[in-house]
Amino acid sequence: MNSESFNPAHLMPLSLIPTGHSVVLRRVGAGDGIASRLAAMGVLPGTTIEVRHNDRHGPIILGVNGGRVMLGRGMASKMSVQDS
Amino acid sequence: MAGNPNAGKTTLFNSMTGSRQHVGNYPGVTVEKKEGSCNHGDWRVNVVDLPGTYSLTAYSIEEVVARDYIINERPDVVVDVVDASNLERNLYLGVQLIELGVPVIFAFNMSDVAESRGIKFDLQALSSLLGAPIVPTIGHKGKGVKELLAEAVALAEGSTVLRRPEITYGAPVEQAICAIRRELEQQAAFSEETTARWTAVKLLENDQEVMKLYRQPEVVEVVAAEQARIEKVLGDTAEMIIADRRYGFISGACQETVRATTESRHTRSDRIDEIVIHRFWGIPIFLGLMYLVFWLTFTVGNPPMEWIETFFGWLGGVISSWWPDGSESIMRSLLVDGIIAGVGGVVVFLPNILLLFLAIAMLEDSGYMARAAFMMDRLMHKIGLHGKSFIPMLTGFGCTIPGIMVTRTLENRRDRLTTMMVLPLISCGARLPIYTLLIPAFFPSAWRAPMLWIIYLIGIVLAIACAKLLRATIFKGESVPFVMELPPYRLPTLKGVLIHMWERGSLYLKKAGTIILGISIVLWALTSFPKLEVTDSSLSEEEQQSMELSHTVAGRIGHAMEPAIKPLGFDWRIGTAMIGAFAAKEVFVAQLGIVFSVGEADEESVPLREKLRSNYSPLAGLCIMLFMLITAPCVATVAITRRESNSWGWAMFQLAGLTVMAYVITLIVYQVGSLLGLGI
Repeated sequence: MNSESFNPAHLMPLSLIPTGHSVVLRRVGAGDGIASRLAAMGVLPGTTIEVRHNDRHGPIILGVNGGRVMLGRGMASKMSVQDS
Repeated sequence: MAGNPNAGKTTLFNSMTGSRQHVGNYPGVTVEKKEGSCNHGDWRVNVVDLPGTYSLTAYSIEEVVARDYIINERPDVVVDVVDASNLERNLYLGVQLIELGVPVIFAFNMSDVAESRGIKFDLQALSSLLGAPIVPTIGHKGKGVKELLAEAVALAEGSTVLRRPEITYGAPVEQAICAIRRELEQQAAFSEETTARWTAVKLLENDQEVMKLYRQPEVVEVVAAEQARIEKVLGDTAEMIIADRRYGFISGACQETVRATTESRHTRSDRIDEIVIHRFWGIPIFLGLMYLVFWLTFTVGNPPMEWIETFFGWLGGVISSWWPDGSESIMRSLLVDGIIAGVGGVVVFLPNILLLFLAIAMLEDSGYMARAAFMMDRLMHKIGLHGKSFIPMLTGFGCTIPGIMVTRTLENRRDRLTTMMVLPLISCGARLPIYTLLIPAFFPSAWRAPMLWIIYLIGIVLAIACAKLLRATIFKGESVPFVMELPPYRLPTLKGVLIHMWERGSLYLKKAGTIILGISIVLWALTSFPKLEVTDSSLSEEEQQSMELSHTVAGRIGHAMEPAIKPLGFDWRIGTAMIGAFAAKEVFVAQLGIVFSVGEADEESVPLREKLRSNYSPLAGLCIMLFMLITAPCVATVAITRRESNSWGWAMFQLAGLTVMAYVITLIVYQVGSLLGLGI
């Protein structure tokens, strides 16, 4: 990702955050209980998450509160984050 | 015992109950139910290891099972096994158990790891804040198990009284809870104070299962109105606010009582992951490990398989010798060809299954399986399957039965059933003799290797196509996004791995064994009766055998089938051999040997190949292979599918679906091929 497309003040989909960046989750834009499942795993709005592994395709790995959570790309694109 | 996945629940359960365990299924679902028992003082304690869950909001079938068990079975004590090195996330479930009003004890598991990470607990203070006893444990060393049992017994006896903390959600949500409760209490009676509150909270959280129970329009209306109000006032959905408040309560309780230095419990794991899921190294490492798994299963497993075969062969010989030479005793035939051959056919897979599950258990317990799923997800996602489906598929090349059993590692029922249904399309080892007999019989040597490759490829392509089709139709609605925890790497314990291996092995023997044995005996009867009374001395022994088989029920079915299979290029002999192949695919070759009067035949039999060549065209030969690739899986597969899907319906669906597909595809290939003049 180049610097022009990465504006920290704005909400960005989590799927676009490159490996190594830490962001704050603002919104989970998915229904069907997935938001509360993520919350149960420690991923809820207000949490700081570190993108541990993002290859542009396939699932991504997050670091949350010392834990590691793997997330499908489709799901990650529905999560809005902000630079911490 | 409840707890998050990877909190070490099963290890603690193993230390508690040792070998006194029983694995079954929860009624109606594919989820494993593990029960065990142990003694404490004068008490006999029954322990149930519930499936791992992150919360009491039912999201996956495992969570529904765990929650229903806690709510409906009302266990005397619920032990919440908590990974002490990841406390706040793990306590999320604990808080919900407290809310539910069940008697809870916390087992702070892996307390040694937490300590070595520099985390210090004031257990007494934390215990009084949570309103539940806390026992530090180290699962794999069995430490804290006695203390845990003592606390559990004290709680069950009533000598410990819990002082439940109030978990509040702030004014707007509390108002909503009150409004919903008022409506609920008009509609239904609640035995306990906590259940009504709990139900109200669950309804606010959009819990699908609880919503199904309270569908009265008045209730639905109030819930929707309150949710809308909360979202308007607080700017977020009720479920998020509630989750946030629970974490708020947890961090409040932990603030004074837990001191942590910042070191992550993942530092070592992260370093391993830098290599293991590396963009370039990840796949070669994965393939290497898979190769090891199969080497262990099929190469190391081969000698014991041969011993078992030799043993049953010897046993058959010994029992045969009780009768005089040449006698045609039905009893002897039943014992030797029916029962011993049937039991042998079941037991012979045991070394493979044990070794495969040994390897799988090591991959799972070490934490590698989650990484494999991560790497394979990209590939499998395109087929509409979960990353973990890769391993059963790969195993299927060796044998479908362990492949289907490995689908247990898939948490999601829809993924699991799809994988199970298409697995028989992956050419298993038992189908190889059919190909190696037929390919040289019909095709010039330059064509042989590509032919074999094409047959395998057709199977893979069909499996992918069917998986896609199933996911677009039957298994459509339940789509679940891919979310999974990557546990830190751990050294698997010998005890855990062995228990894992034995569970699966004994399950296979017990359940599949009885069904496979039963059907084997039926098939034996089909291929043995009725006996041909008249013997024609002018015929050779081989011709005599062929006549006899033709006279049996199987032979007659073969004849009766002829009009139906004629359009595929087959005759009654192929039909008869196919019935035998239902017992085990490799039997096809032996049966063909008998119908063609060449006696004992194996896949290298030259006379059999000549017979085949003179009776069928290469197109028909291809069609036989195609049909045998796709059609009805063997008896063992049907039995294990029934066992693993917990329903005859799915086993029959698989059986019928594959057979119909085999018929249609072979019909098209033969008819089109004939039209094009390939049918010489």
